Amino acid sequence: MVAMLPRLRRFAYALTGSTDLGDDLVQAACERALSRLDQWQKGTRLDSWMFRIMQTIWIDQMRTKKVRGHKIDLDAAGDVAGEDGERAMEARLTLKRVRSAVEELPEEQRLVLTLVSIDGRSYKEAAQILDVPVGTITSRLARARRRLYEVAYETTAKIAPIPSLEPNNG
Amino acid sequence: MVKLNDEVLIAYSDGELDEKTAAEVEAALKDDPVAREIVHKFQEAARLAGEAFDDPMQEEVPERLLKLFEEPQSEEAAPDQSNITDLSQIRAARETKRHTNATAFEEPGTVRRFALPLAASLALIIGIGGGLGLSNFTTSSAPEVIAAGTIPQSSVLHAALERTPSLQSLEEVSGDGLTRNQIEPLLSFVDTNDRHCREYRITSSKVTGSQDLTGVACRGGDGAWTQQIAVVQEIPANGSYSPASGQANSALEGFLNEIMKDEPLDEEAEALLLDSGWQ
Repeated sequence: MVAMLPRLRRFAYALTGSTDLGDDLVQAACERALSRLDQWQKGTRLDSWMFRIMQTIWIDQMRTKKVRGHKIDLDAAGDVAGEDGERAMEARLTLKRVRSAVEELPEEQRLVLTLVSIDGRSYKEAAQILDVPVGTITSRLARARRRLYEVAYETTAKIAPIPSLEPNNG
Repeated sequence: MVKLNDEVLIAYSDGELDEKTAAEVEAALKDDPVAREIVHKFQEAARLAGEAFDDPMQEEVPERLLKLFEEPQSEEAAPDQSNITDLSQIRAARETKRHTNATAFEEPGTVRRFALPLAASLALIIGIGGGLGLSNFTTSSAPEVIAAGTIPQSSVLHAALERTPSLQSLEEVSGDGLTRNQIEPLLSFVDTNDRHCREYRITSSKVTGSQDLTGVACRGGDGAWTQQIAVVQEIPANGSYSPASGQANSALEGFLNEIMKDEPLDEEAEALLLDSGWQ
């Protein structure tokens, strides 16, 4: 389980939007898992079980608190000189916007995005962890990635949003 | 003909379609620049998401989390069997086999860079780009060992580890067509944590020369492969390679001996695992 911690932390970071809140979530999940280790069935995936515990705790927290941490302002552009500096700064800002975009996604889209695009799960595995059909995974993921792309590059006028194939795609 | 929509395109961009559908999508994409753009942007969004939350994979795990596991859980003590397997004979047998059933393979040259230390917990991963496999891998200089983590399930390396028998290889060509990667699992074994692990080699060829990465990855219960160690060697284009460095080999060998539980799996045992999806 210790070997899994970096991945659990990444998952929690993406769900909560901050490493501190994420670590609280990891801690809560590990404590719960350790106290219920007997409930884990040998032969099943330990990490899927852990992700499910974490997901459950997180959803409980979201529902009971309905409080979100205030958003951290984007870094004001510093005095980094040179083109490389600017590009690195732009890349960092893009990633900050990505994090905000993920935080703004509906819970169910955020979970799917985190499992598939951040933790690298297959659609089938994500469907098993979340207990939904694969088709649901696919459509949530498409919506989440569209949104994320658009927010990530919102200030870069040169980059067009993702086009739509269907006329009424909302 | 398959109808292109967001669901199909996202599954395509994640490598989630079956071969037949994927081929249909590929054909349809040829005449549909808008759909191509969507695929590209979906992939870009996935890359961004992965990058945005990558810090925990590169940091030390905070003490407070590690503390949770400090009290010894009353599990059986880990077997400390440091039995040293002599891999040289196994390797020699493998090399013979390779040369009989495959095209000639360049011997690695001077050690260019070297991923250490040899702690069993070490998890390094070479920069493997999301959808396109190894696009970050080959540069004119030594590849960067950038972050710890799992090998992306959409990568060719993952596919090779998952399904390709040892000493057979998969090939991929980079998006720009300039780099050819040959990915070849070398051997399979069970480690001291009862995980299935494989040693593999990626030979990355460009006009300017090639690079050769030998790594070890282990498969977690979730089906994800995590790289444990990698040794990178550079092979100049002029063919003036020197024999493989003893230092690099002994480091890799030492590592294998440290984590290998028994002898490497034989062909039959490996074939069974490949067939059953490593169950």
